[in-house]
Amino acid sequence: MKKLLIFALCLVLLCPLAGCAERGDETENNASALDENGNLLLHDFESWDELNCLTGGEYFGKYVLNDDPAYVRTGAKSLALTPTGYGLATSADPYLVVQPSKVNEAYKDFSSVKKVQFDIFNANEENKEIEVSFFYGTATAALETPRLKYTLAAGKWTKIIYNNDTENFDLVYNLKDLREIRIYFENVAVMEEEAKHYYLDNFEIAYSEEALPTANIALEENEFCTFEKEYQEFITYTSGYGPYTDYEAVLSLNKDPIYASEGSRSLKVYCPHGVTQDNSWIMFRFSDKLVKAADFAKYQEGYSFVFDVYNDSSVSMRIELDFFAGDRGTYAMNFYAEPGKWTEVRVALSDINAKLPPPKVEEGEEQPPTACELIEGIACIWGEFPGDSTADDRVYYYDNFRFEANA
Amino acid sequence: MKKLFYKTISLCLAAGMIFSLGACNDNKNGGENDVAIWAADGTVRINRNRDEDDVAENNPVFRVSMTRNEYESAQIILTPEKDISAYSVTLGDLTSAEGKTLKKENFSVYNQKYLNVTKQSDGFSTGFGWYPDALLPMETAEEYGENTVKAGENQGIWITCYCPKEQAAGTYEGTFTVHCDDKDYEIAASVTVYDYTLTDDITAKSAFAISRHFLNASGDDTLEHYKAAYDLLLDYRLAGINLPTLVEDTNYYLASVREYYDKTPSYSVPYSIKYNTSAADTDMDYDKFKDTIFALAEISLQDEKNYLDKAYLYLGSLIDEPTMAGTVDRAVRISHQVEITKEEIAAEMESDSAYAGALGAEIIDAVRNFPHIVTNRYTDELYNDGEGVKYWVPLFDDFNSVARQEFYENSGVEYWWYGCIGPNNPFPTYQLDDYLITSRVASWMQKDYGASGNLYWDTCFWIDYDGTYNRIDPYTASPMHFPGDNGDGYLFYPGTKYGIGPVASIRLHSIRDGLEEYEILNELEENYAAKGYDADGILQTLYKKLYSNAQVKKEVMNDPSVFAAAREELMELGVINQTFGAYITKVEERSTEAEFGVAAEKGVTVKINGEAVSPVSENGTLNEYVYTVALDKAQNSFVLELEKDGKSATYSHDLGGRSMIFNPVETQNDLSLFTAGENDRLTLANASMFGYEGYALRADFAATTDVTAELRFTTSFDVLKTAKSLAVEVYNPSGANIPLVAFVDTSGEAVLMQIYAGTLLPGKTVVELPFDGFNWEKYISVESIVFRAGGKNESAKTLYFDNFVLKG
Repeated sequence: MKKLLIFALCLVLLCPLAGCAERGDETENNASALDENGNLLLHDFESWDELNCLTGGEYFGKYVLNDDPAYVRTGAKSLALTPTGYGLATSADPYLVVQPSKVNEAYKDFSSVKKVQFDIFNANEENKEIEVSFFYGTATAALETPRLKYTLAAGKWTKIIYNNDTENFDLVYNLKDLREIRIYFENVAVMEEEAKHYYLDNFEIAYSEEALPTANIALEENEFCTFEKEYQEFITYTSGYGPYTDYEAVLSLNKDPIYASEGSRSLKVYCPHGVTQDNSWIMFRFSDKLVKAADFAKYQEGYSFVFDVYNDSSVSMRIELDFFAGDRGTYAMNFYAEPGKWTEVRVALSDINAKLPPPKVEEGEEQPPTACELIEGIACIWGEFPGDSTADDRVYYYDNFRFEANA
Repeated sequence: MKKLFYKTISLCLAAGMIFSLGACNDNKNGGENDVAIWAADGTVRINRNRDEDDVAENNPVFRVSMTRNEYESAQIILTPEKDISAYSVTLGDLTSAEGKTLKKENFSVYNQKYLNVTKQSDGFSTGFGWYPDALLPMETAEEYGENTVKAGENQGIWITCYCPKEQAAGTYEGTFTVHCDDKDYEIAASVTVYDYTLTDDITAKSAFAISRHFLNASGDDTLEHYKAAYDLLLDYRLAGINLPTLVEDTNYYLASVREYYDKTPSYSVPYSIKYNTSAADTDMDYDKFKDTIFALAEISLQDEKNYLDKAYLYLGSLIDEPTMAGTVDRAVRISHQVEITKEEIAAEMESDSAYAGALGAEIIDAVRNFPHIVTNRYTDELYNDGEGVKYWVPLFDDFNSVARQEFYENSGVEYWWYGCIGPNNPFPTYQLDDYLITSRVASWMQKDYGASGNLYWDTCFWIDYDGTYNRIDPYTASPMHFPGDNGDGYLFYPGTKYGIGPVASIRLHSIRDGLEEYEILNELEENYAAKGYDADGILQTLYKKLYSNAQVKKEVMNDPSVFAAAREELMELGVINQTFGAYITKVEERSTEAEFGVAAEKGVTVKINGEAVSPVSENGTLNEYVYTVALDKAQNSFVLELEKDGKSATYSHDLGGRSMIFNPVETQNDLSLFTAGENDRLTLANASMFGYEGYALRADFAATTDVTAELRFTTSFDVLKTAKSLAVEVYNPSGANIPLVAFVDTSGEAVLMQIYAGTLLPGKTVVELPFDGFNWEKYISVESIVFRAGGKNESAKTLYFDNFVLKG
């Protein structure tokens, strides 16, 4: 099995470089071959064609080829970076985007990738920090993995390693659809500060010879998600309808017990303000794998789906709880959480079945599944709300998602 | 070897606007590659693969004529028998007969880079093929080994001359050398400098967007790169929309206004978006807008400069193209609120003693007339009875009739215009697969139609858009970045991979050339007006040679000498005005003669058509002259010669061929050849409305139902077989425009054939029916000419017809 895996991978990787490196000749960096460690040299930054595989976000700044050997790790060139961001002191941090699929479509399959690593030189007089994350695709959007922070010592090369945590990432992300690798840099107030310089080289993808672990969902009786287990930090993701991405919720694991209704952890949902009321719809959603593992069918008779929510803002807003039951439809229920207190939200699973009944069948024919048996997703959704500043943003804490027997 | 020549080169020679190469194939070093070296002027594109079957022998000379402080370009084309591995150009100084020098440092040499059009633009395309666009500096092309040519292909070398302000007028000649591997080719070069200095001022406003986020496709979207792009556009007399700073910060913005005010023709005022709860819609932050206007006013007072007179508001992310975008309500609401806010600001200033003086009054006036431009044609809905959009930016093709042109001109407020993935040829475009000349003529139209500014949606759209944005190399990718038109959305290229700044395009050069001519036109208008004259009379004679109703004429696109002749005449008008204080105050073309009014400074000797003439009146320091040219020769012209203190200048105006009266409509006998409807009445009437003595035909058309008023002229028209056209003067006494269509009734066809369609404005119109190129073989003879005026169901109207004249 191991040998077959490597052979298959080599066949894929020996495909000629496409897209940005498609100038007829193979690039000199042998990016199409794994080395003895199973590493693919995705970019050695030796030719301008490679730069067509890159892009920048939030007005990245400048990225060009460098041929000063003082800033080259291997080969004759490296990538010189001058990240600025838009340039105001309050501007967002700029990021460089590396897209392996632009080099070869096959490279987006990260199910066998252990890690991504690269060398970066901090050519500034002080230590600097960067953050790295992945963007994986879903059916409708791309989701970001947790950003990890790295410190770059001044005047030195640092090897950055970002592990592909397949076991946890598999909960939510599609490991076969890696869209972007992002490297975030500090924003520079360009009118007041000197530009900052970095050099990037040896961008590698490390493949595993053995199969990598995938999602492992362990649930207690009646448990859906308490946020107390380690894997539950990765169990939710954001999404939305309409032009929501500018107002996307920020999800994080809260470890302050004040904001936990049970245990010491909960889900913090930061809701940025938007511009126009209900012009877009923002949601957070649970991993579909969790929903499947929770097995709503088991609890559909005599149980309710219950959770607690704390509104840490000064206004109440309507939040819709959705149960996606495939072709049967969606069960939606609105709730309001009063400011400054915990609110319990309860849905009788029998109500879901009643509201989404199966189609009638002839006598003797097999009964179609109930709605609860078809539930494949759960989300909390709210409409974009206008505001003038971050003071208008809202924060909610969600905790202790569970099944409770009806009284 | 199949030699490739440019077939219109002989016409280009006549225009005096070409670069051409003398003594070609001067095989100094011996070598085996025969290279055809030929030339073209800067108003055409020479594709990389271009065959000419029917060509004239090219006798190329590098030749340009220009004013001081102007840029002009032309091309050398190499077409080798075998591959060339390296070519280069060595320039030389040019000298005049008077011993003056035009230094070689005033020339810039570029290697033309080609883009492959594999999908034609919608609406119009000059075809598939490799089109030149990016102009890579020659030294960069050499450094990167791009100065090569494949056998049988054309490689264009673009050479731009800048004539310094202090350069003496005259003709400068010298030699350039083209090196092709081991062979040298010497080229005779000639630059004629008119005795006219182009102003540094850029009065044509513009808003040519530089989208900083699309600069990212070059690997550099720094503010520094944005500034380099902004400065590049300024070199080409264009302004980006946003000043090259962080406009969100008022302090940075004001500093940039101070830095650029004298250099840029226009700049936008930054704005913030805010939610309007009562309208439940996005809106502008009017408080911030007020603060910014006041900040501009304050620095205006401090610096004693009205910074507001070049500022405008363009809310591109809120209400762009509102009719198409379905945001009419928003556009009306915001436009109206902007006007209210402006008035509040002005009122506040009026009660502030800081604005009490002349500058303060100017600032307040600038606030009240501050344009909030909206990219849309006029609609009643958007205008909303004066409580909606006020400053229009219609598409080029909205000026496709005299009525529309007059509508905007009479609106009483500033208006701009624009093009964006349309309209297409024959309207002007910045499209790659279109005739290059339309991008230059656009600026003449802009002056003619009174549009204060020109807006363009992007100049660096270095992205392939197919619903998603995909990064591409604009030097090699398909030139259709946005669906619809090749070349649309980008006018310069990234220099990042060459380690240089932004790289201009041929289209950008063409736009600058047009904008330079715009300033000459503008200076003439201003100078004429200062003396109480109207330059429009003489300028219209130039405009109508190039276009009609915003549509470039076919002959202009097909023959570079047509534009060259109009430009040369413009130069001459500029010279006689700037150097001799002379004006062509009147041009009145009548049937068989043309009358000119001339004014010149006293002390200037004036000759017209070789005759010394005496003034008939005075206007301050000017003598005024009147001269009539009889149109009785095969080729007629008006030639004005001026001389003073040993300096001389000539202005020539072509009046075409002979004009011969065909039917003067003076007698009942003349009248008897005309018939109309049974309820209509034809009589001879006093011709005073035409400015003549004698008679004219008066046609009183009765009200019509389901038919059009018709006048039929029946006689033998055999003489038309040797004429170019039949002209008639028509007078419309009403205050309304009346459409007029003319047909010929021939013996060769059973149906009427349309030969003319136009509009009779109130007053006199000369209607010219073209017969040059008429298919006499098919139609055999013309039995009647039928005029139909107006529409089918109209009230009674009267028209006058006089002097049917054969021309040519």
